[in-house]
Amino acid sequence: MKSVSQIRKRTALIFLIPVTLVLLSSALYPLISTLYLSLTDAELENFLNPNYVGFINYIENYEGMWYGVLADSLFWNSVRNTLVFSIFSVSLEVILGISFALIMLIENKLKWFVRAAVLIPWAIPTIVSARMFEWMLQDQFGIFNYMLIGMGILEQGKAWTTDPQTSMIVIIIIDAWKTSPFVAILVYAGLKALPNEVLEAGKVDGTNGITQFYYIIFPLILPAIAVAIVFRGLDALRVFDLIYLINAGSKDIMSMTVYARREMFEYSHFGFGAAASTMLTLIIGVIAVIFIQRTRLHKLDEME
Amino acid sequence: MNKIYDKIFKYGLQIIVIIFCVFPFYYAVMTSLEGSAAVFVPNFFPTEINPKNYIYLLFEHNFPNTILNSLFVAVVTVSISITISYFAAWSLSRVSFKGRSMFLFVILAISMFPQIAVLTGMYQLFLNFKEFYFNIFDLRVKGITSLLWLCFTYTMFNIPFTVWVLTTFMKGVPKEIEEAAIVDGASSFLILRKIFLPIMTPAIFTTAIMAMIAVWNEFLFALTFTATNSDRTITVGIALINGTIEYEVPWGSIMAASVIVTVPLVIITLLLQGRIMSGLTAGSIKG
Repeated sequence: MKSVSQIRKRTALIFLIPVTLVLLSSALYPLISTLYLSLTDAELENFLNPNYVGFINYIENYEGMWYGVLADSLFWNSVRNTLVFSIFSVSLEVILGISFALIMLIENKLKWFVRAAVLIPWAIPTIVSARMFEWMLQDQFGIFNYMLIGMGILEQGKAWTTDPQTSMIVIIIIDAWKTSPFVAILVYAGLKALPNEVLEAGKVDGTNGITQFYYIIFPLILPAIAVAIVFRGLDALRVFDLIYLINAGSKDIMSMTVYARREMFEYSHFGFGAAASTMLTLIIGVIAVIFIQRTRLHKLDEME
Repeated sequence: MNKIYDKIFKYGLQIIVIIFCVFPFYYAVMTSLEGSAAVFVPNFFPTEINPKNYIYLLFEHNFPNTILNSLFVAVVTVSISITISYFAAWSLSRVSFKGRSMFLFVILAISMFPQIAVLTGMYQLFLNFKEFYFNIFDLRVKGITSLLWLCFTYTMFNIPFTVWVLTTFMKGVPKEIEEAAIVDGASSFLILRKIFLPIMTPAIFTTAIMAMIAVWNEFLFALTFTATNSDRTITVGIALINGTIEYEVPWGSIMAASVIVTVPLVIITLLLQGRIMSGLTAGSIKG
């Protein structure tokens, strides 16, 4: 007769079969076929049976000229845009998130309202936040320009979202608005897990409070912040909807995902687009490995 | 005196956070309630209440249809992923076997995967699926091909998240509860149904809501795999509300649509505030 634990182990493995099947069929298979397609000449007409062409979608020298994703300055431009977006938005989110988390700790009558308000941006779809901000920042009728003109800062409304000089800033702000609540909640949970005496020590008011926060509380919530940075960072690196919605056509703020998708679905260069998305995966993968190594996130399961 | 200043200072900080988080939404609600003339006069409080934008949405732009599509995809996706994940979470949290941490790590890695990495392969699979599907079914049901496909892709992108969160929640259930049943010789299936299900119901519900919000908000796949007016989901639907002429963007209707799809989310979030917070935390670190 089999022991109870053996039976349990077998049942456990059986219960994992559906998950494994879903992940294999819907993650691994398309990943491999994307990799393969990046080595083909797939276009709209021959998408179901493309020809193998080697690495020419990545890089090719043809009559002294370089072609391919790696030779496309627009691709490198999109890499730079994505990095700029990720670094600035995640930094802003961490700063706002920590501030919000500390404010969420204040015990008074508004406590419930603060905690409720913080969750609202998180629940709102990106498309909606994009449209809301676009409307507020609209050049003729937007409330933001109206206020600036009222205060005498501007003489005339400015088209914040379409101006290439300001659209990246706008996108970073919308992203920070939408996702700093997530960081705040993680940090807040980290703060709540601290022993009460530590929090009391940090509550001392005045400038002293800030130094106390920096030297006592901050190191203790660093793991929570690290987790938030990893999650937000990897999310920011694959940014698509905000950039696509705010300024789809602009080359100045195009992200890697927008670039790859544009090649596929606007120009029907599926092979080339697959090569671009493979490059993107590689870049994100390298950054992810460095991040996870640094934060020891892979040891999470043993950290019980 | 100092104490009063301290109190005012704290209230001030809280009010800044509340305004920062709520104002854009408030402003959208306000705009959506104004008639066409009032929309284009910037102000902080509504000058009139006019349901025109909402009525316009109900009868044009196929908007009610996009809501039904999104609901269909969300319900199907979430039911499937929660069921599959519930069993997997038990295996990953209550039973120790070789490779368990590895499995969890792979799940976490997949949840951070950029969707675009699989998009070309997915699209090819989609075309094959369509061909296969069209061979079997007649024209009448063809309309939901894209929606079924969205259910499939969303299930895939939801499962890592739901497995991870449910596993974390299930780890929190005390061992003793299960042990008594094991001694009595109950099968794992019975234990999961009779013992865990009642305890886990709130956690499952929270996870389901969060997964549903993720599906409701998804844009990239929805944009890629839906092509006609009849199979669009709400995110794509809103993205495509445009005036006939460039400078005639119907801001009032866009805001009304935004409010319609957001209000249910906001209400659910407010009602489940505490649970969602612990769910979000469980999704990333130990709860």
